[in-house]
Amino acid sequence: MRRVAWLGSVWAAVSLGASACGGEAQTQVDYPVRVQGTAQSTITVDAWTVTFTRAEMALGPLYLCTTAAPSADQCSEPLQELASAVPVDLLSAQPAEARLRGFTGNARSAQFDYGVTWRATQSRPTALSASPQGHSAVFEGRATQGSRTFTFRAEVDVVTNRQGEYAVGSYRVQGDQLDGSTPLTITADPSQWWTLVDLDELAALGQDHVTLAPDSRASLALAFGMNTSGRPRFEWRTSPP
Amino acid sequence: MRGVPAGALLVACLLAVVRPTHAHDAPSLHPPELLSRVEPAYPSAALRNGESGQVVMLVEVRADGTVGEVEVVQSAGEHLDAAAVLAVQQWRFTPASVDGHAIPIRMRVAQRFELPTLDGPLVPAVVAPHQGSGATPPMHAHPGEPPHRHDVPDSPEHHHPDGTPPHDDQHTHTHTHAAPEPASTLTELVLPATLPTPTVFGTRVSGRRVGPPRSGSDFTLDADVMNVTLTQDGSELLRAVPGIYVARPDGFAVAQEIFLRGFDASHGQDLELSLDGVPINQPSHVHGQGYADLAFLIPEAVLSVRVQEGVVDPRQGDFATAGSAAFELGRKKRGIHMKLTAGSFGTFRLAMVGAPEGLSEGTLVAAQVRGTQGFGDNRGGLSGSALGQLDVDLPSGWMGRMMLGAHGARSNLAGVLRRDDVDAGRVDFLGSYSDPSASAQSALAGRALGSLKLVRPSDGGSFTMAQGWVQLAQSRLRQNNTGYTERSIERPDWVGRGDLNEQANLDLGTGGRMAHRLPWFRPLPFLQLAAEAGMQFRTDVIQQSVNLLQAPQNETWDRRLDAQVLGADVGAYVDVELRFTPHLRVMGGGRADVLLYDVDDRLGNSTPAFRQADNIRGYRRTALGLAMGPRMTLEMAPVLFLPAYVAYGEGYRSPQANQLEEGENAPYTKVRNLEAGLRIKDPALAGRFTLTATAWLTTLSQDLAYDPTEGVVQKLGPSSRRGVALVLDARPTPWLLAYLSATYVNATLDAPPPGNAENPTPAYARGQLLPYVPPLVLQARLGVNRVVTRAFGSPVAVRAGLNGQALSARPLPYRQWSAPVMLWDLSAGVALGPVDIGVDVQNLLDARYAQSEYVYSSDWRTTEVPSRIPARHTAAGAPRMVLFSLGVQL
Repeated sequence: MRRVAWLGSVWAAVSLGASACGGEAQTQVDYPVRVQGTAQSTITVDAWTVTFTRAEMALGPLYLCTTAAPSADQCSEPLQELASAVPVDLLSAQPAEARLRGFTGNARSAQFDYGVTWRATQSRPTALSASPQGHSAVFEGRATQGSRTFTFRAEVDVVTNRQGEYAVGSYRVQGDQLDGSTPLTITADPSQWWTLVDLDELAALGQDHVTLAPDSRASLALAFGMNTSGRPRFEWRTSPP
Repeated sequence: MRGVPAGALLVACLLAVVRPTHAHDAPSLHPPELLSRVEPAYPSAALRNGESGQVVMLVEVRADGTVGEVEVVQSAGEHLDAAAVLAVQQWRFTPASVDGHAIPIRMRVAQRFELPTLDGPLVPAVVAPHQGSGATPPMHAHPGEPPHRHDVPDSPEHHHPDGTPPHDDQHTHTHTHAAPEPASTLTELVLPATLPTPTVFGTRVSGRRVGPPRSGSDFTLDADVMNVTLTQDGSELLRAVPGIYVARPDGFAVAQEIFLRGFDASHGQDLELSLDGVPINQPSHVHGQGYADLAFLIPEAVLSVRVQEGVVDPRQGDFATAGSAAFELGRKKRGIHMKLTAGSFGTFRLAMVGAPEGLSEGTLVAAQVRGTQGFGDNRGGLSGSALGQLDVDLPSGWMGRMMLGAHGARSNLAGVLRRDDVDAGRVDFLGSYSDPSASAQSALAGRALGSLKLVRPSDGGSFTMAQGWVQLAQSRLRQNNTGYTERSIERPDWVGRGDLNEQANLDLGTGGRMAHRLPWFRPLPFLQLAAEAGMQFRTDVIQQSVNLLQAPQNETWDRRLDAQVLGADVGAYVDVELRFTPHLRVMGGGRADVLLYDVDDRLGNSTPAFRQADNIRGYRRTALGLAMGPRMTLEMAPVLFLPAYVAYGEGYRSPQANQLEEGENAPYTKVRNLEAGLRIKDPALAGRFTLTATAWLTTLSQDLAYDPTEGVVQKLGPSSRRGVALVLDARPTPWLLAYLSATYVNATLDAPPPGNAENPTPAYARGQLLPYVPPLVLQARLGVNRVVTRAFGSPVAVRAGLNGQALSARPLPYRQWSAPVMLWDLSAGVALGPVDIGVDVQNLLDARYAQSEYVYSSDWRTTEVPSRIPARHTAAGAPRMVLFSLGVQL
């Protein structure tokens, strides 16, 4: 058997030498992705001042695609992926870190979920373990306008309405990843989402504490902001701007 | 005549005719007795030149039984004389004796060479019709290459049974056989005039016409080389081709995968495969262009394979991009042969071949049935084949060959596995996903074919040939390579029902060919010329469909393709041979093919569901292309044992019809092949050692690559291959064979692949390696077959074979490499009279290896969030298998 092993070793060495020629356009990469909020605990929405005591979300799974076409069907084999969800404290200045893995190339679009997936093999949307309390995002805080004030808790589920697709089906990004040395920074700005919430309507409820369920108008507005009008910003850069 | 060893008959003949001499002269005179003879091979040069005639020699049999001087007293030309002398010089006798004293003696031997009578890419063979159980089977049969020695057992039963001179008998016998044979020679051994009665005995050596080698990569593989170890179907015969790697990862009912000369020929797209002129490749097959399943071939019924690597011969047609392989049915050993093989994993095979005595070696009937439970989950299969071929004489010098065949197979498919699932222990390397959609994978294949060929040979190598064929090929393949990733196009809300992809293809093909070759003539004093013109055509009516099925009831949940393709390929060629001297020859000509397609794509122009009321789906389109190109070979032989070749050829590969657009012109793939080769034969050892060295450059205007996600081939872009190969064919003794080869290829993509909406600018790097193709392939085939003793009145022959193959690491996409593979097969057996028992061990070292490996995205629901990044997937190769066999030759 020793002779057989020796023969195998020789063949492996010869094989390696024979295979050494030739280039390859794409190589594997595994590089960091940082997901962060704006770390603003207080924002202004119309005449309201909103102070968050808790602002958490989950981002992922995330797929970067070579297609620029705004179609979820055009990314059967992503370029890079984060095949899980990462919890993000939007109030923290410290970004959540994870790793993207895949292959070098030019990413032209992204598709992702906010911690709640509805894959082709799932009968219903399902929250991943990284999601805050089973939701895409959870916000807690106080809204104040003059003498009017109330506390709130908003639970947001950003879910695709079509099984097998993603909450954000196709999002234009631009990033050349040639060697895996440039981290991706994803910055979410909750203030853009909260501008879609009618706080006057909530105040009109006359309650000191308002709980916004995922199917409430306000939560649906937040979800709309997260997957449509206020999508996170994707930047490939080595250091903060 | 069966059961009488050839040598026995020879000696019987000798003694029979000498007997009267003993009666009239001194009773102490004993003629020489033949101990072993070497069959002359029909020289390849003579075959291609159309040379024939009779060589008469005066042969000295020395007092020690060896052959001394040989004098040609009647010449049949340089090549034939040399072949006859070379053969007879190796004969061995018991010396003639007078009163018990050995004496030298001179004998007259007449050797007649007859022209071959069947045309085409036929191959040489040697047949000793009197060869019985006492003779060592010939190990090799190349024209112009090593002659063939047959040991002649020394036993009383070698005498002619009735004691009469067998001259007439032998002549009758020979002519009876010769008529349907492509070529035959008659050896006459005549005792010298000093003896009162000439002794005549006959052996028959037949040769098949084979065209001249077109390059250094023009090989003819005989059964001895191909069957060094166990072969169970036609694809396994190809494993002897230098530089090839053949895998059958999908069981009995899916065509083998072929890698050759830097080509991932997939299921046959780059290798033109034919059986006596009947094409095996299926154009526009839904599973792969040029799909060619060789499972219907029964190894015991295959006489030889001529492999022309590269594009060098005007006769090479569609799919001859890496080369072509032409199978020839036939069997040298006549009678009825039955063989049962059984062993590991419930594997069994029962084969039968009937080769009627007195008819040509091409006439036979064969059948086999195979089955296995498989070496892992969901790998069982069953198949059956039947082949028949009949050569007949017809009036006016015409000869006919009729061939019939049928095949059916069904197998379960284990499918491919994600390597990360295997590494994590979520599924066994030899196993299969337990998912219903994986368990429902299966394949069904069927084929029926018939062919009729007429040939009229004439003098000077001229012939006229016509052939027609028809075949029906069906395949239904259910594969799930990707798990759960597909969405229904028909009902876009339907998703996650399993990617069980059913591809069905029914092809009714008809075709034929005609050729006429002029006899050699001499237009100038220094020039001999022969020319051949021919045409080939085929038409295919193909019904094909692709559906997605939901297991386990196989309900259709999406339709992807429903089409009828009418395809036609009409080709014509001219081939000219110019022979300036024996040392310089130019061969070649040109070929043109018109490719015609009419596609009725019933699901074409698919519209979104909300617009389906606006039109009726369907996209009917036609396309026509013209492929033309030269094929030329320059053969130089400064000395006859050192021929060198330079060849250039342009070939084509037809397009996949369902990828054509309306009115596309000339959509074929253009192939350009430049090759240089050198063949070295050892003249001192009668050419028993042949070393071939070749180097080549092959470019393709549009390459194809297998896309496992769809189970189809996709356009890849232009590509090129630069390779070198060394092949050693060594047969140092009649019972020992060594066939070694080393092939290195650098196969690269020469431009970025075509973009699409999903990936508009595919990544590309100069010198990018083509995936899945092993750069380095080493092969070793060693065979021993020898009579070692006698027992119970019958000779005892032992045989052993070793077949080794080593593949270097194969490049995979994204700078990944598969593991190198080294495989060994061992075969051993012993034959006692008509009974042969043996044992075969496949994958002797029990290597754990992937037969095929791909990189793509899949979702088998094995993790919480499955990765969608392209991942490595493997189809396992079989572990060590032990098979026992029992054969009977009647």
